[in-house]
Amino acid sequence: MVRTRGSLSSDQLLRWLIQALTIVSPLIVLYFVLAVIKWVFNGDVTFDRQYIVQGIGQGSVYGALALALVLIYRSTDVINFAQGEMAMFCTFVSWALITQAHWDWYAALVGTLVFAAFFGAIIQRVVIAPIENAPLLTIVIVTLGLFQVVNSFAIFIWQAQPKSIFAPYAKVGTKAFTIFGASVGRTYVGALAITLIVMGLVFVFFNYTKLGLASRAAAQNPVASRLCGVSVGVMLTIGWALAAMVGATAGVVAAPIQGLDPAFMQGLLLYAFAAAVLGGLDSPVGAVLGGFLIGIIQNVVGGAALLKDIKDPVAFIVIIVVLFVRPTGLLGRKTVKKV
Amino acid sequence: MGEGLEITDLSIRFGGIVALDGVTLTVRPRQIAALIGPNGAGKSTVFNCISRLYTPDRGSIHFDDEDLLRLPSDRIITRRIARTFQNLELFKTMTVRDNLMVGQNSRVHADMAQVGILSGAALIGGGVIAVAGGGSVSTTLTAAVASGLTAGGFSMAGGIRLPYMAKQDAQQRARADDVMGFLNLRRHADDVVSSLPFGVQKRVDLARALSADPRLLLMDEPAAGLSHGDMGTLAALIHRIRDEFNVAVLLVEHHMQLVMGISDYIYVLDFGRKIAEGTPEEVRRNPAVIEAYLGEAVSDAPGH
Repeated sequence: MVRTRGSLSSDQLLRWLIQALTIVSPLIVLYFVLAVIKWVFNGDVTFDRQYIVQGIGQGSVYGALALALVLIYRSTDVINFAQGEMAMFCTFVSWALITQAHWDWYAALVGTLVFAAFFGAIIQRVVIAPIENAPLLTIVIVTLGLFQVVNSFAIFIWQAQPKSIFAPYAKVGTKAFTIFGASVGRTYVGALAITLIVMGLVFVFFNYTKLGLASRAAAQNPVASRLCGVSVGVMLTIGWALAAMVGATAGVVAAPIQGLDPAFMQGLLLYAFAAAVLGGLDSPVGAVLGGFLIGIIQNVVGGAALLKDIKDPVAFIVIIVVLFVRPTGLLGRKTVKKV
Repeated sequence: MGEGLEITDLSIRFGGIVALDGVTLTVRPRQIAALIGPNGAGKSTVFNCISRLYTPDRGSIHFDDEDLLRLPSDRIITRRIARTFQNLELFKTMTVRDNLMVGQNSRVHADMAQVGILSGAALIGGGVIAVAGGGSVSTTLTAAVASGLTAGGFSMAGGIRLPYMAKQDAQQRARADDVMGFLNLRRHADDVVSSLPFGVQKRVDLARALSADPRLLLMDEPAAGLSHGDMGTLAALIHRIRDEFNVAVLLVEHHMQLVMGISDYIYVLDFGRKIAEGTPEEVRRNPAVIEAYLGEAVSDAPGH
């Protein structure tokens, strides 16, 4: 359904060039921020390219979670604060499947995704749909409440002490992966591979299936969609189910990197928010790109001994500078209100 | 009761304002009917009641003897009633073709059924094969779920199609192409809607409605925003739509010359009440109509 046109004008080339520049602009900004820091502290800051690759791996987790946020935001304008906790809960389900039901890790991943789909759909139907017409802020506050409820239930069921999950792609004793001469932990490479597959599936769903077309339509213009026969309520439920699945993927691949406990998604959620805002809250592709960019910035800065402690501030300085120039995010669209 | 659209005693109020008060009207198959009246007379409210965006306080709306008030708004299209919008409610970031594909969306439910059938079959098949292969519980479940998801995914993406579905899919594409051809939109098929000029967007809106193969087409101010030249074409176009698509047309329109020229029958609303009805000739001579329009002569007189 989505086709590019055959002829290629210079106009179009220019537009692509600008778009490409926009996408890498945070890295350019980062370069200058680092240059300033280097100059001010007169320090010896060296960067290892391994951190770029590792940053991409870490960024894939942010990107997946950001994608989950965007999937819900762009159809309902709701920021789901419980997205991270839902992902955490799903990750515990996978942990339980592995350690208690003795499932294979990949089997547990598939099982968890199925669980996540129902989990997301049920939450939308039971909690969100009944307050659909409430003011936006009310719904957002409800997702905050949901955050607390899901978190408490996870502690109630699985207790608060950390658990560890070993992903089969990173068995103890396996050597680090080498890409372009940089050695990277296998947990990162595995995380990247799995999230890319899931993101690819989401992309195919939205762009090449009729159901995907209908849900894009419902997100863009609910009234017109209804009159075209799209059941907007069903589309919203599907959106929440998809978001929960993408979020669960982020959780399952993040757990081997940083260990599993009921709070392990909260830090990630903050970066996912940042990624979504950086990429443009209404752009799924932007969210994923934003995730990668933040992962790279964070790891590159964190990898330099001098700057280790200020990697988060640096990441957010870059975001603020970018948003100063592009308030709608890298790939976000300006919304023009009718007057 | 009978064929076509039958609206009886339609009344709705918003707060203290009576938007419609006992409106009764009929549109027969292949008839071109118009709903006219000064601003705020309730014309669009009638459309929104038929589209089920509003639920009237009193009265009934039947189409081919079926009670439309029992249906939610997303089922109206399945009864083959389509509409265009005054403000062009298009899917602006999508291509023209995708807009037309959404327009035919009423059949997506059949698609979902197919996805369900295929993934269910694959789920059972995968499970049986894994059991036969002597797998453990977890591998059996994984094999079953994974094959189910794969089959579902493929069928959603159009990789696998039951013969019936493949035929329907081809029909939908062909229909979109036909409608685009009819409205001179073929060369814009892969253009994003927001990049097109207003006049073309108006045609896309109309094309989306027609792609649903309606029996009744509701047109909300088709002439608004069109140039003088386009206006003449519009009258001919509406006639051609009626003849070639075999559809009844109910239009809300301010442009008197257009309405008088093409309508078989006209209903006049003022302050939510029907003040007159008849053929263009009868309505033109009706004193109540003249009075209603004189009061609004500046903003709504012919030539607006």
